[in-house]
Amino acid sequence: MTPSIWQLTMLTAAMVLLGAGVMATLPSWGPMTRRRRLTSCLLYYAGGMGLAGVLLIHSRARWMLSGSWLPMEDNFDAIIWLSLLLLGFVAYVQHVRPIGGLEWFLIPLVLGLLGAAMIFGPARPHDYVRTTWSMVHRGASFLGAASFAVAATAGGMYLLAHFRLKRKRLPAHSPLASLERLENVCRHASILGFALLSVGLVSGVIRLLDRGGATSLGARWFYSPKIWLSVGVWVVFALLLHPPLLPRLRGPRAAMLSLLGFALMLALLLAMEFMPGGAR
Amino acid sequence: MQRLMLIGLNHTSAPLAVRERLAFSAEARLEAIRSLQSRFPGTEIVLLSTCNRVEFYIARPLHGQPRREQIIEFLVDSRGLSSESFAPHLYHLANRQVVEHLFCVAASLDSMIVGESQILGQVRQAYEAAAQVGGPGALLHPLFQRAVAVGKQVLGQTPLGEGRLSVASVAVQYARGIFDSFEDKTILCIGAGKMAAVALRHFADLHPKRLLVANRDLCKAAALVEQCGGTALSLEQLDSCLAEADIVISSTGSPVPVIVAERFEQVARQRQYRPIFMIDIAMPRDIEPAVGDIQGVYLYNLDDLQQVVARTRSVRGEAVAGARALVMSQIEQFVQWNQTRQLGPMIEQLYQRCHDLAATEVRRLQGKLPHLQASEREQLDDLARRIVNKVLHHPVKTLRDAHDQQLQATPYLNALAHLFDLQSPRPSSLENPPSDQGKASDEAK
Repeated sequence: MTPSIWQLTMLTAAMVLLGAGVMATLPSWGPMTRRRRLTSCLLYYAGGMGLAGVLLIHSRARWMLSGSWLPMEDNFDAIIWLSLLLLGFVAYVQHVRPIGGLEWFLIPLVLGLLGAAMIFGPARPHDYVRTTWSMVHRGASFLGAASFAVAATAGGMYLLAHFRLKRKRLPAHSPLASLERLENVCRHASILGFALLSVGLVSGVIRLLDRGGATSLGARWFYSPKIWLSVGVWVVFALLLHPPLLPRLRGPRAAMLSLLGFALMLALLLAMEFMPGGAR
Repeated sequence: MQRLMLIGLNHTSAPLAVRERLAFSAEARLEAIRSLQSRFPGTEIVLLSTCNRVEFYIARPLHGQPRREQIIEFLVDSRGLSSESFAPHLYHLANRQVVEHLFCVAASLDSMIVGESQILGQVRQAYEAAAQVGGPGALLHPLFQRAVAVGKQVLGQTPLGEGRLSVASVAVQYARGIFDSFEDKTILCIGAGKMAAVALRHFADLHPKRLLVANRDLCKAAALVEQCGGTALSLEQLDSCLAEADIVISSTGSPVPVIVAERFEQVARQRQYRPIFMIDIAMPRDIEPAVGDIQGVYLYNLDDLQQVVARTRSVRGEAVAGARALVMSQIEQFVQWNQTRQLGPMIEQLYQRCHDLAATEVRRLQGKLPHLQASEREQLDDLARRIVNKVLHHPVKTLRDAHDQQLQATPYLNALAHLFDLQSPRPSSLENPPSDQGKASDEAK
């Protein structure tokens, strides 16, 4: 369903609030104080409420049009849900146990997703088969995607801090979180995302086998790019989670793997949108 | 007349790799002074060797030895280096420039970390060590005593010494950039000297799970452990300690690296490439630079940490300006005092020489004129005396005027000594230059 002008206006306002929240934490304003941290968290929460409002209005409009209000039924809905998950993670972590610099990487990603929602949202939604396995498949895949986005963000921050430490260009009072913390976030997010992706893959395969060729992938689903990209993402994160077997695969190499996995996941999402024949 | 000379290199003129090859240990420093004195008798020498500089302070006769080339030759012989490897990094100062440089060094204005207090103790130590073997003399004694007094005055009475960041505190900040918590971390300290103790105390405040101190001498390691807690170990257990440690502080006096890349690669495999933060504050370095290229290793040496301190520390411009003004006024006082010290006795010598000559000639004349009366003899004596005084009046006045106007009287003194064959003044080596705080005599203790 095409989002209305009010929804787009609210979405824009939410993006402005999130952008302001990030700006409030920039080191150019001086050392981070409790007041600035609180202000940025409030702005994130306000932006999140704006996004929640957009989802509510959108769901109501869909219900009135087609009688269905379930989440993730179209691009607009799905992308905003993904953004909200990431935003919730940032707001919660930065409020409870801040990770230095997390919002500088994750919030721009959220803003990018919201921009994509504005651009791709009005696109005609694909048919949606409402079965349990479909719900499990889509829910697990999106949650997994959110986790991988967090893992990739932590991985990117890790690489930045690592190279600056190696080249001795990091100031003594760096605003970025420590390498150990970033590695932990990356690993935990990867574990969660891997588990969710595994559930998403299995439920997707079960749905395919159950429906036979009666899905958007068609009878030759085995050769679909969506399947192979999903498996690729799964393999990358499987490697990431086995450092005891591959001890060299930790630290900056693990961070690079998380970025690779996220890149594959983005390719998967793009393939789902633009591949002819409906790659969903 | 003694002339001052300084030959050396520091952190601005030479990289760490050159400085560590020229660094002198305490024993080597004494040996170097003795060796130079035997090569160049009558020369005053003080050798200042720290992590950031190696400097020879020399007082030698005018047109005497040693010269710059001879010092280079000495370094080539004693350190076994080629002159091309360090000679381009040497600087050469003379006379007033030496006084200015030494006073700025003692006041930490020439340090990588402006305002650090360690250099003052190092200058004092270098002077006292040289004094043990008769290195300083009539000129270097008062010079170094005054330099220490100036350093104390600057660091104690100006804001320059306030809010200092230290190398150890910066190292802790970097450790926080790598590790999130320290309650489960192991810290290993290799060496049990003063610098190692300072760094270890900073890290002990993080309350790590375990503190290990490894040293060649177990007694020293045990003494350090008593202060900071932990376990004392011998260097034979170093590999097992490295496999366990998350943070390594190294500060031994070893002339060769204690941890080499080949050895640490095996340790890194045992550690499964867990991150490790290594701080090498030794001079020469204890940890081979190639160790820093191994996966998981974050290696920082003294230069790296000091540069960060110098970069991040906010040095207030007015504090430095104030310190420099104080140092400049002290330099002027010292130079004036030194000139006066030489001027008075030399003028006295000149008058004495001329009056003696005149008296000799008058006596010779009186011998040829036996019929002179007593009053006539007196008049002849008076005549000779007045002629000498009138002849010397203008040159001596010019000399005093140059001194009073704070011009360089030294060229005049040198010419005087040379033309009239006068000797350099030999004041007592314990004679102290004027001090407005009256504390200069205490600095030599």
